[in-house]
Amino acid sequence: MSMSAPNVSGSISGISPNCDELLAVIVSSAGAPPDVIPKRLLPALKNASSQIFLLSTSDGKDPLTVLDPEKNTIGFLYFVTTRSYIDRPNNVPGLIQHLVNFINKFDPEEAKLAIDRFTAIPEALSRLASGIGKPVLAIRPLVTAIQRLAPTPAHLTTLHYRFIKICLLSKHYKDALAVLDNDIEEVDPQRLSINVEDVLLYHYYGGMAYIGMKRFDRALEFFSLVISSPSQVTSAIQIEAHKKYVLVSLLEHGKLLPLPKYTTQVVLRVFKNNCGGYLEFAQAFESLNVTRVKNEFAKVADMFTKDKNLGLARQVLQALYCRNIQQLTQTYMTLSLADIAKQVGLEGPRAVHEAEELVVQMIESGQIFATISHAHAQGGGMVSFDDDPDRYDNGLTLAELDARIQRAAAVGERVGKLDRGIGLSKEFLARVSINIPFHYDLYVVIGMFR
Amino acid sequence: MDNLLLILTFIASNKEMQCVACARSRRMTQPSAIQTSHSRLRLLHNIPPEIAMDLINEAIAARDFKRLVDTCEQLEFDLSLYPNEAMSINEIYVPYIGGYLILNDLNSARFLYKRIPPAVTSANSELQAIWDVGIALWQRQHAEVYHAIDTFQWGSVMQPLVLALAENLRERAFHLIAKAYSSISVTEAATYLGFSVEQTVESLTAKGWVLDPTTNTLQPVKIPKPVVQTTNLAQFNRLADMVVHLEKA
Repeated sequence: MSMSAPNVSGSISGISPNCDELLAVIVSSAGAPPDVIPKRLLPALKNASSQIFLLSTSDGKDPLTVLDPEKNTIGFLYFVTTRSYIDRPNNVPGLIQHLVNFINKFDPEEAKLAIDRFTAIPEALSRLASGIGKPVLAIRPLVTAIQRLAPTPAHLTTLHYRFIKICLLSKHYKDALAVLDNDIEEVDPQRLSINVEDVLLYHYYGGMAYIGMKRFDRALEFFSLVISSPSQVTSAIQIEAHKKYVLVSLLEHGKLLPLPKYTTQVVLRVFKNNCGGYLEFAQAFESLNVTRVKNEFAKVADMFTKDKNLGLARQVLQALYCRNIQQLTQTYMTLSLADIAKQVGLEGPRAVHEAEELVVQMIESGQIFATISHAHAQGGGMVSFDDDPDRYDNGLTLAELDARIQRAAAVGERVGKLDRGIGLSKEFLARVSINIPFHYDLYVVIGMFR
Repeated sequence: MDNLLLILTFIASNKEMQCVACARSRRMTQPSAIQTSHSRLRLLHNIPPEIAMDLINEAIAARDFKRLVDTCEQLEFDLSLYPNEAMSINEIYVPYIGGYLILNDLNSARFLYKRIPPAVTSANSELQAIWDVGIALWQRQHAEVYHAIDTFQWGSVMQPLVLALAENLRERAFHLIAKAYSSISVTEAATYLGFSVEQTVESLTAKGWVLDPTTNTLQPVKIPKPVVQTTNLAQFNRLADMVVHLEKA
């Protein structure tokens, strides 16, 4: 690489440097003492006009081929993102290959120094990829980017929700799960410049992805995290999450599960005032009365449509029949399929057949324990309801119990560690030492020496 | 023969390959080495398009449908990033959907179908045919699944896959009937298994099911759940760990 003017510091003060000079600053910062990047490199890049990042060097080379994504992470980042962001980028496939290559090689520690810029990557990549009709190109590289940027899989990064959103838009739900299945436990606002929206949107979009993959238990957990986030005012994200929470809760549990106790009152109140329709629908559902649920559904259907929750609400409606069949198992020992159809409110010429399909489906998924007999032909066949045949005395139960205990122990350990961390933090100590009686301080001091 | 050579050189030159191809090189490298290189090298090594179809065929032949899907997932990305003349991405969609269906991951199959450009779908009758199978599975209409499989003239790649799919479904249906019915009408059982009435009676009585000619129903033999026995030394260890943990707290 032929580069002139090693004395760069002079040329960047005042006027904007040309491309060669900027490259020289970038290259000379590689491997330099740690304060060079924030003191010299970043100001130089921030002050440079975006036009410079589109140019070639004076000897006609492309800076993206001159720079090394690993050694010159920040410099490369500025060039590649600026080029992706302009209106009509040149050579889009080539640019995507540069981005993919960069994601495989960038230095995570250096990237954290320019995290704002790094955060632009998901959108840049997805914009380029969608532009050439291949949104899939954004997915795998972003998984890699998240894995490489996050110190551990439990860390949230600014890429997380952006990635999940891209997955939803391009229908790559399965890839989203690869990231979502790691529970987030670490949020580091200082080093990874996370803000509250990152947390809320990640769990909101994540819940949507789980709905798409029909993993309603996880979806519920994610929405619950959004709603119960500590807040002074209610965020629109929390309202939307709450709407979906109501429907998913009905779908998965047949009733509206209470939210965690620490959910802020204002969040609950705002939801109640603005989205009462959802709560009324939930009440109707809990009554298990088909006519009442259908009436309520008709009343709020417009609201569901407007909120884009109609598909989900329809699934809830369908689940009502299963809930009702489940109820029957508590009252009857045997019942004909025709009676089941009548009792749960199935109508039409195929009602008996539909009832049989539902019963079989529920037996398969373990929601009920029953057997159908066609030998008793009256009423389309008889269903006898049984008790759960599992006595929970076998190895499977033991293994399950074991796994849960281990999980509980691991969670307990992490909570303990977090508790100690907070107990030792300046903020906490300052607070307790002002308002709280003496023995609490003592407790904290003891905690320090434990 | 040429292709085989290519595959071999490919394996030899990429010992640390990502997901798909590492299944093939597993004998050569330590599994742990593959594991660690997995995420890091995920994008560096792509599947050479010349051998892509062989990888797909081989996974189907080995009945390793997880690997089939992994291969197709990787190919969907690779062929988009490095378009080439040896293979069009449109060729993988049919086995790709078939793979998801056979793994019973209907959600992923549905989203995959949704992201295929409509122009590609309408020009490919095999793609529509496999999706008809998908819809029937989604709606749990066993008879229609078998019908959709039987009535289409599948290509050489798909033929073994759809046969395996039908077999797989039949096996699942067999277990389901045994679990959900104390007696089932012969015609209903035939629908579940995609057999004729005679075939149904023959194959099920061969498994010990009893035919009651007066009601024309079959009585399934209950399939006992496998008993898992896990009492061993490791359990005592964990028990000890647990007690220590509780003592600590």
